[in-house]
Amino acid sequence: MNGSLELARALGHVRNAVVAFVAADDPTGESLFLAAECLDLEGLFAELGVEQEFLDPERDAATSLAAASESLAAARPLVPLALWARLQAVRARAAR
Amino acid sequence: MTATVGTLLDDVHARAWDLCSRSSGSEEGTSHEQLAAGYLAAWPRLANAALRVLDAVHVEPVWLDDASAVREVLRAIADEKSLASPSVAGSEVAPAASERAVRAIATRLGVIADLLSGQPAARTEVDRAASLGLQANVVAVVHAVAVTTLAALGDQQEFETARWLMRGVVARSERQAATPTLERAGRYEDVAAISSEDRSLDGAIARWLPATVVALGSPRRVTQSALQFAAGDALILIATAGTVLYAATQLGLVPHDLADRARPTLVGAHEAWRPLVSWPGTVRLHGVRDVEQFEASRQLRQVITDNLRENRGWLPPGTMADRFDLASLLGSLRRGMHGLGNVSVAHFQAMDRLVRSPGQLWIAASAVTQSAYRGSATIEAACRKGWVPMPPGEPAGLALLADAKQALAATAVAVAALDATSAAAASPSQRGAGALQWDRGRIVAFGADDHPRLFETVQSSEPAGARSERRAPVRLGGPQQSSPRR
Repeated sequence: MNGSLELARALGHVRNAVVAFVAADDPTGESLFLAAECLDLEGLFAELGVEQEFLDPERDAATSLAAASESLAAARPLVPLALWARLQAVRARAAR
Repeated sequence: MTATVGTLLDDVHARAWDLCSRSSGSEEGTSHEQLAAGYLAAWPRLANAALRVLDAVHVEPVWLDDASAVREVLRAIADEKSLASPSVAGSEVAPAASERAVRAIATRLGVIADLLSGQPAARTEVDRAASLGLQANVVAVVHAVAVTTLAALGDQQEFETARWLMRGVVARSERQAATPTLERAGRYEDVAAISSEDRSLDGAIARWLPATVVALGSPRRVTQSALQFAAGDALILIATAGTVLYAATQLGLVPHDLADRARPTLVGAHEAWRPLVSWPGTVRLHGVRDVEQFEASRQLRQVITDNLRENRGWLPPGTMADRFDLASLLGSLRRGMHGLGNVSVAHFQAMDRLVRSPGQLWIAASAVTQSAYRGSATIEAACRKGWVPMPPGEPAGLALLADAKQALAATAVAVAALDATSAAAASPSQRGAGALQWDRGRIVAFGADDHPRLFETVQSSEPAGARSERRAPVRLGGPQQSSPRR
């Protein structure tokens, strides 16, 4: 396992989620707030010095977030709990 | 509740209304001379305060100054020392209630002038209309107090000079005082005294704006995160403004035609900011997030979510109206959009600096399009999926700059269109025969006829939203009514 690579992939997935949320045609506005929360997440990645890995977009934002979660789980020893908790909170909000 | 120029004007008009009402009855223990002397003693202060408001918003020199005649006579009064001199009968006694009442009006006009002192010069037609409306609202108060003072002066010999001055004020202010209230509403009424300690939406915006502008304006602190956060917040603010505008329109607080004009501009601004939230994956700007901006952004989102959203959606218009004063809320959003205008300028300037200065942005080596910059180092970096400083003129950077420019332009258009909705909801103006009327919380002067009815009462009508009013004329000399509120 390459933890750094998994972190980079996780960030790539989060970025894809931002793109998907912003592009969503959502009259409730919820996707805008989810995009903003993903930007918060990106900020945490930036503080860790993670550089993003380019990834093809998943079919939707929720899938991208799930993929980000898998990547973080794979790099668990390197992942601060705050990052993990925040990602799961965003996923929960997106799934509601 | 946040004090705004609008609420202060409401208060000033209500006080002027009370003052006029009192003049029709006699004040206990006060002679007519003392009453008149009290009014006169406060006039220099009132004139100074009114002048300050009239001068608070700078306008384009080419625009005609509708208030020049009023300014002239107000300056004369402000310099007229004899008004409060002991030679005027009654002025040697302690300040009468009449003097205190006019002083209270003057003080509030002074506060309005203070609030407006930070406003940029009026440049657009929307600004100009708002500026004229503001002037009319101030001049209407001056006119009402002048009419009341003139009535109190009677025909005493010692008040002859004062009578000339007051007649001058009445004559020069009448035209502006007669401006229908519908034509007076404008964006300057939204200008507010906001504390950054405030936990309201205004307070959240007041914290968010400087934090964001500072983060974007500093060449060292600006990061991709900062730019994306600003864009994300812009989307949320615009969506919130659109939602509140829709609710206010549904409830009849904003005329449909104005709302119909504003809505597409908000949609346009929303579309323009979208690509700036999700930057192209091949471009990036190093740096950690700015903590202050991040916190301010999170608070702004939290306040909006806590107050205006429920069950993952926006509150329905009816619920929103039950919980908030929608007109005030829309005023907050108009202020917020002005703040966003500042952010969009800072955002564009930051992007311009980053794109045009070499070595600021980074680009994925494989994404470099200009052959002149595809040297061995770039190819080597591309093979290991690395990054290189973005070469000048790279399309990816120019596209970002073009997006930022588009967001700036679209935001400016949306701000102006939303400003235009600050005009009050249309309703037929009921012009009666009185010299002064109460219309939508403001005093309006009308020409007197043979049977003057100086005042009229206003009652809140039952349905139809927040502040519709109906009026019933009351004959001069009838029982006093409490002053209405908007």
